[in-house]
Amino acid sequence: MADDALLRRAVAHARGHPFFLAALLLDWADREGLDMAGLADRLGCAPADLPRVLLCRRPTGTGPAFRADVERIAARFGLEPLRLTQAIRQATALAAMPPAAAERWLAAARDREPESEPPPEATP
Amino acid sequence: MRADPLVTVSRAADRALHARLVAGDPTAPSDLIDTHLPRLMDRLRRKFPRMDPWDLEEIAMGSVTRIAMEPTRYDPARSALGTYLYLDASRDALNAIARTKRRAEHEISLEAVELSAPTRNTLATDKGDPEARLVGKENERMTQAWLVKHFDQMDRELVQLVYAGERRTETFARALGIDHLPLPEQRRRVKRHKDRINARLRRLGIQGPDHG
Repeated sequence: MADDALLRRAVAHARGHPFFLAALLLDWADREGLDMAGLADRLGCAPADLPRVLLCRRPTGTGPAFRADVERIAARFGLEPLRLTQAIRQATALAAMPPAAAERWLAAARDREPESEPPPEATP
Repeated sequence: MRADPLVTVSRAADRALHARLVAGDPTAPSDLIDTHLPRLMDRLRRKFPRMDPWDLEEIAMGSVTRIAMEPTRYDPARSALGTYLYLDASRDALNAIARTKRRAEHEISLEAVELSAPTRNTLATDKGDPEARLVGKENERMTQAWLVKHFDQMDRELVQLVYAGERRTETFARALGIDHLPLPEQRRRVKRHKDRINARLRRLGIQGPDHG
């Protein structure tokens, strides 16, 4: 098993590859102003598990395939599939938006907190 | 001969992990990195003790993430996964060492060219200091060897003029044997040759003296 510091550096490396959840969720966390503890909280996962979650493959496909990926990650790390799905959908939608539109959406989402909804076009 | 149970278990675990990667289990990359990255780092540090540990770590991460993303690159029938990763990362480390060596050679060459240029060669012209004379001679020898390796005779002369800070068109024109041509034509041709020389120096990893 890797120690925490090595895992964190591996996450930083994986962030450069869209294949990994790290690339999607860390960019989203940055735009949302979340640090690692905040991101773990948003995902509902233990902070110690977060690096291992981020080193998972990003769920792909649509419908059942996407759901199966999410459920597998959620089951492995004791997450709620719905929270993980919401985070991935928000992150995917934000990543696809032009920066100005993303900022407007984030500002609106912050106004609506604590219940922030994914944008309408957020279906992966 | 009986198989080592630990190795056998490890091979079985590797095969299972590889099968999960190939099948697209989204948690398999995380397990691969968690399990294999520390082992790989240990082995690489032992094999390349003089290499920067941060560089080694980047190399190790590169190998592990490559297999996570493209698991079919590895054939479990041919070797253990740990062995494959070790060989893959070792090859990258050796390439990195070779690149560093090439860069260092270029830097030495650049230094030699700069020191031997007439306007900058303060060491070689310091006749009163035997050590400086020796250094100057060595620089001169290195410069000549490097120039001969990379440039023909005419271009060697041009490189040395460039590094000497020479800017006069007529000097380059004389070296090129075109000083009989009208001045505008000399300028055009000299510029073309200087651009060519600078481009060649850049390709060799050396910035021309005008580029800081």
